Amino acid sequence: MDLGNDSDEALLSRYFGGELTAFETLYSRYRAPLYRFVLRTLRNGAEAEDLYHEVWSRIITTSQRFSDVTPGAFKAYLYQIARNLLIDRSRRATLQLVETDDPPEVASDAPTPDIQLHYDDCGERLLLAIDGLPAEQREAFLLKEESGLSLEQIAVMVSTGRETIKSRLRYAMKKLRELLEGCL
Amino acid sequence: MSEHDSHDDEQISTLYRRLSREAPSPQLDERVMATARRHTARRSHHWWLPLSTAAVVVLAVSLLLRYQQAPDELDKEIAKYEANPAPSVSAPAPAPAPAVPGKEARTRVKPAQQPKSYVADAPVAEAPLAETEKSAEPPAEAAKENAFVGALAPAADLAETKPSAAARSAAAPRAAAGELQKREAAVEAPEIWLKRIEALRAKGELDAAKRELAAFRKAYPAWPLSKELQALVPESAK
Repeated sequence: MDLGNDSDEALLSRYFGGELTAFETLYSRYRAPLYRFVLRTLRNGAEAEDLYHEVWSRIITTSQRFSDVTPGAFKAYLYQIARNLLIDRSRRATLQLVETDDPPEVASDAPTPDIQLHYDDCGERLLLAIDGLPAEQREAFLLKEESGLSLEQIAVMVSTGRETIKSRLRYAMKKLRELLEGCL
Repeated sequence: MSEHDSHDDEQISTLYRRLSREAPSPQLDERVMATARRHTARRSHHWWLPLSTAAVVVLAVSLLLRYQQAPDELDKEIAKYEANPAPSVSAPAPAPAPAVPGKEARTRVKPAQQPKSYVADAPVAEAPLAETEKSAEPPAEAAKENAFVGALAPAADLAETKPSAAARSAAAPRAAAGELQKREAAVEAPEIWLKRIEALRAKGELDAAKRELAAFRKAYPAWPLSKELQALVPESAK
């Protein structure tokens, strides 16, 4: 049966009705962008894998109550869960930092300034530039690029106004343009 | 934001999308799919569990209702099933069943509640009850015990007291149909029999009463008699 034309919400409903193939289709739509959103927010491959799995586990176990059939509702819901888990993890990491007075953990795959010197490729420079963005601007950029959500949807998710999101994006792009000088 | 900036933003987005090659590993995909499969199975299990529980409850309730409404029918069916002669059971004579315990015999002689089906086991009533220790107990005690049994079992059970398995298996199948019917007709419950004798005595038909009483005493030698009936027993027979 071809499920490719079904909406996300319909696929989720069919999965909860017992159709595993519906979940497979839904999963294939979001696996890569969601993974990248998590990976580039956390900047740590192992942690990203755990959190990514946790996001889908939440979808599987708790979204039976999800009944919003508005187009795009599932996508917003999926990224909302991911974002909430990222915030939880970030809070735990901050608490740990305060309690132990350990130096800030450096993400394993985050390039150091030394390595940065070797990045002459524009793509690599872009990734470094994204990593260097302030958290709120990076979040706005990644949500826009990876989720494809509208500014309004991102604003709702982040619990702020559309203009604020627009502003964060504007600042993010300005920095990226500066860091990618010569590439554009 | 200038038009140039907007163009640059488009280029940044294009560059970013070209870089976006990272994806979860096949192992991670499998982890997620395994979780999805596990929960699908669990959900389908959750669906069956209440259904099967409900089915069991409905079955139990319907059986209970059926038993309450027609216990006689069920008892008959059980009796029919149990009456099938087992090959290992020896074939005793159809008549007197001395093997029947006194308690059971007493249950059988319960007056008024004597059902027709019970009379089919009438040869048992001819059993020499005196030979059993308990048969010497007066009927009042038997009634008391039956009342106790009645408290434990439904009234319908008492009305059609079940014969022992040996007696049941020995009775009907082996006796010739005609003889059995004759016996059934000839035998009556001792209380009823005594009442009939009492009635004969009261009417003044003493000879007939004595004859009946002699026959009664032959069948139930240990059965206690009222003073009036004892007076009819010849001295030689006392």
